[in-house]
Amino acid sequence: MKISRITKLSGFVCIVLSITTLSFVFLMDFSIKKERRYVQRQLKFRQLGHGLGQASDFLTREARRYTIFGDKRHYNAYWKEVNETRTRDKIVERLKALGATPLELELIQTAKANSDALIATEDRAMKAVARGDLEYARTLMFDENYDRDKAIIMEPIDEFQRVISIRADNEAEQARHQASVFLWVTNAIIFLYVSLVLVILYFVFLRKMSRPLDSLTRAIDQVAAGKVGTAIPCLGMKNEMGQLANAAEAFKASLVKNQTFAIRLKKHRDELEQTVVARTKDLTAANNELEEFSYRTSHDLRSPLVSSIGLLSITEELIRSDDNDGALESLAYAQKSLQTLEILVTDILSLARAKGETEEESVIDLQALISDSLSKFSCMDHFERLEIQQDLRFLGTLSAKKSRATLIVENLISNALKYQDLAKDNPFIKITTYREGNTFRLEVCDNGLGVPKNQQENLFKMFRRFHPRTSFGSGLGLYMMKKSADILGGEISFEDLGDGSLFRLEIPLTE
Amino acid sequence: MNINSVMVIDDSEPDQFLAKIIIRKFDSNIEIFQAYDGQEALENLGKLSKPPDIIFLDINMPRMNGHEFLEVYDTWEEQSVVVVMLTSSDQERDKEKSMSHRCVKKYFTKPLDLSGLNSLSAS
Repeated sequence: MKISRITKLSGFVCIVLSITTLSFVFLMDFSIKKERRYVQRQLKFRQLGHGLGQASDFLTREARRYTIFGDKRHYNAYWKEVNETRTRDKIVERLKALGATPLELELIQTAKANSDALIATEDRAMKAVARGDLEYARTLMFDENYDRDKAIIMEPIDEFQRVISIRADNEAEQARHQASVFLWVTNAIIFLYVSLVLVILYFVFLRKMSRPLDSLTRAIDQVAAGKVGTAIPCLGMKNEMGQLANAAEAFKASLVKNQTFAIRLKKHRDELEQTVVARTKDLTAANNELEEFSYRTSHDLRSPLVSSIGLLSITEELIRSDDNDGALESLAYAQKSLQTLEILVTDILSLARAKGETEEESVIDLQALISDSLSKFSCMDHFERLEIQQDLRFLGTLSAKKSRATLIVENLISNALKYQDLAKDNPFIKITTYREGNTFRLEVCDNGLGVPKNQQENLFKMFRRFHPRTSFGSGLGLYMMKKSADILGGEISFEDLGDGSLFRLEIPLTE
Repeated sequence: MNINSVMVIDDSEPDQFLAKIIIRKFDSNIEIFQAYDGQEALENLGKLSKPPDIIFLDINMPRMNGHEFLEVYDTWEEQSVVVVMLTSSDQERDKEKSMSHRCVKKYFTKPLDLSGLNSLSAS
């Protein structure tokens, strides 16, 4: 149940209890006042009963004095009381007005009727005084009959006093009892009130609010401090604490999300920085390569041309001096120089083509490619010396850009041919293809001149030549192979066999 | 200076031939040693009992180029040999780099000609 609902309900119950308590206090007060009223009425009734007796005694006294002393004042006083003051009538009326019971009224009226009966006797006695018959008058007023009738008047009055005492006692007792009941109920309600307040304090404020709020505050502090692994308490509570816990959980989730996002952002930034560094490195390398390329081409293009011009000039001089052998030798060198130029131009053009090439991949017939390359170089010097070994174990389908694959295969074969060790009797070239895992491998190994150890790190750089006298290449062959392998998505590597070289081309196979 | 022997360090056979013809034309008595790259030149120089008077040095060569040759040769104690750069490169950076070595006295661009040899002889 929600705390606000419990609080509202508690407030309502407290108001009801307060009203009830006040009502009972009021009722108790009413009962106490009623008891007092009964006691006072009893007193009043007692006085009225006594007053009736006194009024009767007053009449007896005045009548007797008149019969004794014959003083007219007594006579007047007597009749003034009977006709004007009418104390006894007024007492009866007063009792009626004060709510006397019929029994009580009857007793009082009986007493009055008895008193009235005496008035006749007293009237006769006072008339006897007026006639001068004092003896008769005194007899009437003082004989046994008069005393008996007088005593009869007091009997109902005594009875009245007894009755009203009993009634008053009962009523007062009843009112006292009521008051004590109300007092007890009031005490019970106050006890209930206090208990309820204590229960509310314990249940609502301590159990439902104070403790959960304390644990929730501590958890939120921990989460805010960055410890997002902290469990949020009170999540199952179906009240405001539960709502607060849900909000804290959402806050935590948001924080975790933000932290994850920040981590991803940082990772992304780091990756981006790494990419920038790598790209910058690539660009710098490409720029340096381009600079080197520009420098070397300008030199290497110019060099054979300058040589050729010089040689042709020499040739001319030699012809003029009839040195034909010398002229022929000079011409041969000029030719060689121009051949170098041609090879260089061809390689440069090939490189330029490769950069702008958008060739589609096609299925490579490796057997045919290797055979064609071998036959292409079959007319070159020393080809026939080479023992050609083939171990073509790759039987799958290789899809690649054909011109690049051809360039690599041809360069590998021509290198093995050009840089064979002429001092050896058994020069060979071994071409192997096979598959390892998901990689196609082409290996070309020979027992040729190899690559000097101190030059191996520069093997695939542009314009590198490693064999003086024997080199007739542009120095771009291995560089072009490396670039072609890159284009094929593969890699080319070199292994120094000690007595020869092994070049390995690896291309990942796509299913 | 008297030029009795020279060494031509160049990987290009046509250039070696051309240099030989010009040197012979200048003075047919000059002894000519040939080396086809820096490494070979260092090996040959070590074998010679008397170093040549002049070394004509190309820059772009296999294995050990002209600059690399100079780095090593500069450390040699005996520095009586005059090194003359003979290259197709007219790049400033090549020139500056070469001339920074104390043994390098001249920078010629190919081809070698008689006026160049004359200037060397006169110096």
